Amino acid sequence: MSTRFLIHSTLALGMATGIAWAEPSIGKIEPRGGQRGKSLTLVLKGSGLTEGARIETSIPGTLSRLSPAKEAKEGAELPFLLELKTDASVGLYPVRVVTEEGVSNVMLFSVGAFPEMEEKETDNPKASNGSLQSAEQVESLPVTINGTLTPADVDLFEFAVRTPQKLVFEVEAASAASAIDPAIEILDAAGKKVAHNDDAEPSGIDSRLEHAFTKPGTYYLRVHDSKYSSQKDNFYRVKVGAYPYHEAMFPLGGKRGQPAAVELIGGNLTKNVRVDVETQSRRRWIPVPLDGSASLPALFELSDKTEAIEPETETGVKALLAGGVINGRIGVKGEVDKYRLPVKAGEEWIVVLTAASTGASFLDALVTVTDSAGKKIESRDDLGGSDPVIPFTVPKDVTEVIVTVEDLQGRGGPGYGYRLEARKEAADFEVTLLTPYVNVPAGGTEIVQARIQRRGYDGPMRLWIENLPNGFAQAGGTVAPSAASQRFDDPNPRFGANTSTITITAEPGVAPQTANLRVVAIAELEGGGRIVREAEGPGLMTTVRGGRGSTVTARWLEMDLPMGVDRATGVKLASPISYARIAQGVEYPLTVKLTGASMKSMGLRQNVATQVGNLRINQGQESTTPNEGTLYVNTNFATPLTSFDFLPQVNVTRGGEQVNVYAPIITFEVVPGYQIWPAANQWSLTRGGTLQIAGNVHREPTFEGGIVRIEAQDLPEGVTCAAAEVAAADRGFSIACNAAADAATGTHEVRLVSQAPDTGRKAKDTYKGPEVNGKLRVE
Amino acid sequence: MKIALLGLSTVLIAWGAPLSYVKDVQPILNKTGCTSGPCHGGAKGKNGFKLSLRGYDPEFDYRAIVHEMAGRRWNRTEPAKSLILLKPSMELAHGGGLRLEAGSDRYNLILEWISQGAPFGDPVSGAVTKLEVTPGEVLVEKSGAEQQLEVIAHYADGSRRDVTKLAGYSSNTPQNAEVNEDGVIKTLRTGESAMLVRYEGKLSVINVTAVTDRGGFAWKPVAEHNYIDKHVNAKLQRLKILPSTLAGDAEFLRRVYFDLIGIPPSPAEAKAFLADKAASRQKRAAVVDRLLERPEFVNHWAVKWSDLLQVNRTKLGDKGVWAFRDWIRESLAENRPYDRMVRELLTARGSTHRNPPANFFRFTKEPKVAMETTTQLFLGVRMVCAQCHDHPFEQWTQNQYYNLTAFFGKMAVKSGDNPDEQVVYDKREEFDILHPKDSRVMPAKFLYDVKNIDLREDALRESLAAWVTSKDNVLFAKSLVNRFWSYFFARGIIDPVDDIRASNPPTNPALLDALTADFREHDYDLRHLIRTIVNSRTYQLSYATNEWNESDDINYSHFLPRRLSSEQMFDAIHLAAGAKPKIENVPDNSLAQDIPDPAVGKGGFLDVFGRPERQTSCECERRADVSLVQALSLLNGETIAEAIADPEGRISKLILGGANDRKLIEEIYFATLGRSPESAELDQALTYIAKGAGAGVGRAERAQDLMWALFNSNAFLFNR
Repeated sequence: MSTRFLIHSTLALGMATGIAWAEPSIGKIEPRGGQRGKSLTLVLKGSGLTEGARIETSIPGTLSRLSPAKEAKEGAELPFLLELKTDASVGLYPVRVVTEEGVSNVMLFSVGAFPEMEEKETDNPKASNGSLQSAEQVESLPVTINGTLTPADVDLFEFAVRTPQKLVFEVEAASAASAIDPAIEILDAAGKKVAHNDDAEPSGIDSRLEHAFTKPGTYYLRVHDSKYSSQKDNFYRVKVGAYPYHEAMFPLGGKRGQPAAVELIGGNLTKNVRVDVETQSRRRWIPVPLDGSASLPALFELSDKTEAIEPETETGVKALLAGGVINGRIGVKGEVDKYRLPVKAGEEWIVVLTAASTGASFLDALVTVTDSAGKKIESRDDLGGSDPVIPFTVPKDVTEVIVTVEDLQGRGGPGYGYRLEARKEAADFEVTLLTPYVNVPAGGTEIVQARIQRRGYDGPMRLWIENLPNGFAQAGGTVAPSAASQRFDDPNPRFGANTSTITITAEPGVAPQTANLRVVAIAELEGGGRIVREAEGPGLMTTVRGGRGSTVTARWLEMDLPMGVDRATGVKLASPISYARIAQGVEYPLTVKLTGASMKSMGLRQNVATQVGNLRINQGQESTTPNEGTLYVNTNFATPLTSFDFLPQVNVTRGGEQVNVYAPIITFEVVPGYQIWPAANQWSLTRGGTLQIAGNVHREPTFEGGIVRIEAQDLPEGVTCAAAEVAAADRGFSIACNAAADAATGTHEVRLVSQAPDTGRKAKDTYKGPEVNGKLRVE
Repeated sequence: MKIALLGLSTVLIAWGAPLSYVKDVQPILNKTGCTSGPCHGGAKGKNGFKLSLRGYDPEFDYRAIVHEMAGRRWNRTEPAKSLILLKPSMELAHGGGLRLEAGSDRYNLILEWISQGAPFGDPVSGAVTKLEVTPGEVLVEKSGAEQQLEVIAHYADGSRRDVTKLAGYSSNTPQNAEVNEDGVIKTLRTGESAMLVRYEGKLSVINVTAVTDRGGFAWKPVAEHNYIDKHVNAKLQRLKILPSTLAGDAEFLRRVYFDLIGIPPSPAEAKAFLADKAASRQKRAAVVDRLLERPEFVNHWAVKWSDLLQVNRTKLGDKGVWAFRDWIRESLAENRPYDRMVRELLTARGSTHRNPPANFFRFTKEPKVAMETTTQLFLGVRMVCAQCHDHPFEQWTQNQYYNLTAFFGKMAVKSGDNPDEQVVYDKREEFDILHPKDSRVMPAKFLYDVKNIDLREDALRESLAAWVTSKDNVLFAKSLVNRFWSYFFARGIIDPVDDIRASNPPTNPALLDALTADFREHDYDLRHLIRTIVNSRTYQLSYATNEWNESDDINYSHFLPRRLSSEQMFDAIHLAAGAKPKIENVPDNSLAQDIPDPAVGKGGFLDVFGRPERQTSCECERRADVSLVQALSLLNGETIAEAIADPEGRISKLILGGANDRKLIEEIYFATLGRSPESAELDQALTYIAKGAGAGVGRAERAQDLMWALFNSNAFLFNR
């Protein structure tokens, strides 16, 4: 049977029976949260949740295994008896399952302060609570309501207010990794809206409001998705009660191990609340709880750098700590903070400001760098995220720059804090993992992806796993330089983003194990030195449907890349090579073979080469060998001289489920068709004398060009050189040069240029090899 | 001394007296059509010779004539050999044909001007400051009557000139009265027309009223509910038009329900209203008050504002659509004064999710569009023509276009932190608006002066908002009342409603002024305006005409039936049928008036019946036309078919509840038309339903047929 290879497509594959993919996966956690000090039955639901499963969690309490329900499918649920500590902090706690087949995804369990209530409609769709008449009764306050929103669903809860009072209504959805974008409304007994909120300040999309009920009576809480969208992860929790909450914090961070006091600001606090922060932690973010609050805590950032608080009482230009962090704020509307930074002309610096991305600052920062005379060097408000990053080169004659910080919208106040740092660095980039965890099948291959946001660095990089255990091999991770994309419409290639992929391949007999992988991106700088940046893990990833699509993550979990080993599938996709050189203009045939499964058809997908211009992957010829096929990597004379990765992938269907099978990445390096290697790069010639510039032509084996014609150019006056021609079968060349008696003396820069006029292609294109520069001294 | 007479001109031009391009030559080029769009005033000119459209830029035109082509277009030594004369007189081939007879007064004037060295003149002292047209108004009682206009131009230097032969004339209703190029008006039939007189950028409008064939007419005094009736009746009396009688209670109730809340009265509501023995005027006023407090009032009017504010997810994003629509609803629910609504829009900053009015700048995006949308939407002024040249039918200049755009120069929009979110902010630099002709920076300037409004350079959008919404900016209130009037009377007092200009006069200026004044006096209270309109006797007139008003469709002498809007029709079908609308991506039990934007139900029933895409802020996007596809949809489309046969629907419930044929028919009539069947209708329906029992077809199916037939009747499809 012949096999047809298709590019950019995935096709169903008939698989041999008996192959099981049983890596653990948590689809649901019931309930989503619990009240501290209470006991409850916690059930993880999903697949691969086998008897031997181990639960990894930081939930403050004890867990005891229970037997799954009799009617539950094997591995479909994992029940526990959870006893929450009475002094447990309100917060979100990760839960993960580890089995012999690998590690599961993370889900978050919420520990709350109030009694919990489950929406009846969640388990019984007929118990609709979508109208005033069918609203679900809330027996008493305070309460935490756990609910779900089906497509275009609206949930109403009826509650009684017995005396005039203020109540806070606060939703946890996106903050707890739900795909719901909640909105809440308070309705009076007649259904008239008396208060509403969609996105609580200062950032994020969860809702919160406080309403002063002046009249006792019946009221309704209305909850819905702000877009009435349809989401798979569609849960929410609403806290209802009288409690304090804040919106912002100052400072936003401090030095590890140093005493720190934080002001919690805004919300319904009548005055700022001071909280002493425990900074003896190895973590980057530590929670700052507010006494008596049911809200999730703010997160305070710890660093190992020098930290300082902006002297707010000081007017004028303040000093900026090179290499350290200033914690400042735009204290009043329209304020502009100014910092002085001593520099030297030609130095490269990067200024990084953190504010809105912390979730604890209102500041929409605009940072401007000027010279001391006020001439602008660079200005930005954000870069691929919420906060600005400004790389800049110090202009000539500038010995001091002024860094200004202001709110883009001209606002200000106690909650407009920021962290500002300036580092003397050439350029930078930021790496974020797009893979929250990975299970590699024994004898098989899995992928890890990362997004690289360039911050001024536009060269090549490599993604690399630093601590891959024995028994595993990695491949790929190549990031081509920005210029390789040949996107001439790219307004600023120094600030573009790339996605890079690494494949991890396990040896067939590798033992079940887990590891926490540390992924870094490395850039080797041209002038020596390197930039190494550690990839930040997303913790978890929830896909949000609709609109332009987005993902909810939990970076604050500070997880690297958890890895497990999955049971061998017996299915393997492989190529005989892991690296290939391709001459510009050459078509390279790549053979890939699938084993362990009988197949009707299969697809291959290249998903990395999009970073490289003038590169095409052509559909392969029909193969007469079962399970094997070829595809053609096509370059042309304009394909940039760079490396890129190619990832073969088969999408197989088993029991209605689709599974991706990958081959280890093959890295291609595009090289010139031939190169001129002169014996020397410096030559000398006396007036009236002669010179032979000799050397070899190095041809790539796949290069099809015939004669290579070489000539010297930019020759000084009075010097002539004959062109040399090197036949396809030859290597050596010699260029004869003569100097006239009155030839210009001195040392001159000359170039050896070459071309292969007949490249054997139908179009008879001329290929021009790389130039070689040399110095010719005439005496 | 030779004397030349310019047509009927009473001002004599002395041969040898100094002539100028500005004052003497340009009017001839405009009158002869040289500067018109199809000729040299077009975007690319003609045959290498480009003049400004209608001569709005005299300097440019002068340069083109005198300096371009190395001055070959004129010949001082032999003026008659000048191309500027040879071509229009056809002494040389001219694509535009004969425009200037050799030896004519106009020809000779240009010849003399060239002889004098083709001076440009003083554009300041030579500027026309005022046009005086006599008579100021024309009223004739005879078809075919003629009236000569006389046009005197007043110049900045204090001089005056009769320019009757050089002015341009046009009629806005040539089927009623026409005007020739010499300014002679001829009435053709009963009706009103406005004659636009143009001369050198100045405009004047003369109203022409022809009242013919009115023998035997006698005005019958009618009751006046409020000032609207006073002004309408005054006009009708003058035109010898007799208004229709008052609409019956059922007719009024259905009409006012659709107009105020977008849905028909339920059978119970209709029966209760008809059974109410209170005086008709009082009970009508009471139902108006009740409807203004209904949630559907907010929902229905939010659809109209959503059309105008382009609530459309392709522009605002998935979340922005809901946020902006909810802000509109919130504004209407609390009857937020109109000026406050507009101020919130024009001064909006920050997140389009957290501060929904900021979505105004998400769909306008750039300064020019923001300015054009602002003037069209809130002042009823279309500035778009002035982007490329001075407005041909208005006083607005290209400079004013960019002066006004400068108020939005700093406005910028960037992506926010959350998906689909955008943030509106003020740019710190590179915000100058440059004139396209010479790249000079255009300072922000109001279109016209409004007292007590200052321009603050540090708060340009706030200044503009204050200017737009000022009570002394009469266009703000006038454009709104005119727009709202059109929602009840099928056309604006000025129509199109967003094209207020001197050359598009109101049909009843006194009425428009009174509505405007009332709206301002009531602090831009939208509900007060609506209440005033629907409580007027004029609104409550029958759609049935009499012999004196059957040809009138602009003076509100009878109600003009309007096809139900797409949302009204969809909702009326489902409410009448008692069926639950099947609309995806909106909460359960939502009606079409609850749909946030055209992405919901795209390509379906609502679009067939003219729901707008919301790509512009023009009322014209919502179509009220009738098409074959609509007819097919009504006859055998699934929307009606599924609604009438809904197992939980009205007919099923009536049959299951044991309703007899008479009850069944009566309920169907009330549900669809808001009234009981007339005697003949009842007999016909009874006969049809009764047939069902013996023909193997169930009563329910016969009842469904009846409802289907009523859905397809004009009585249902139109608000009348």
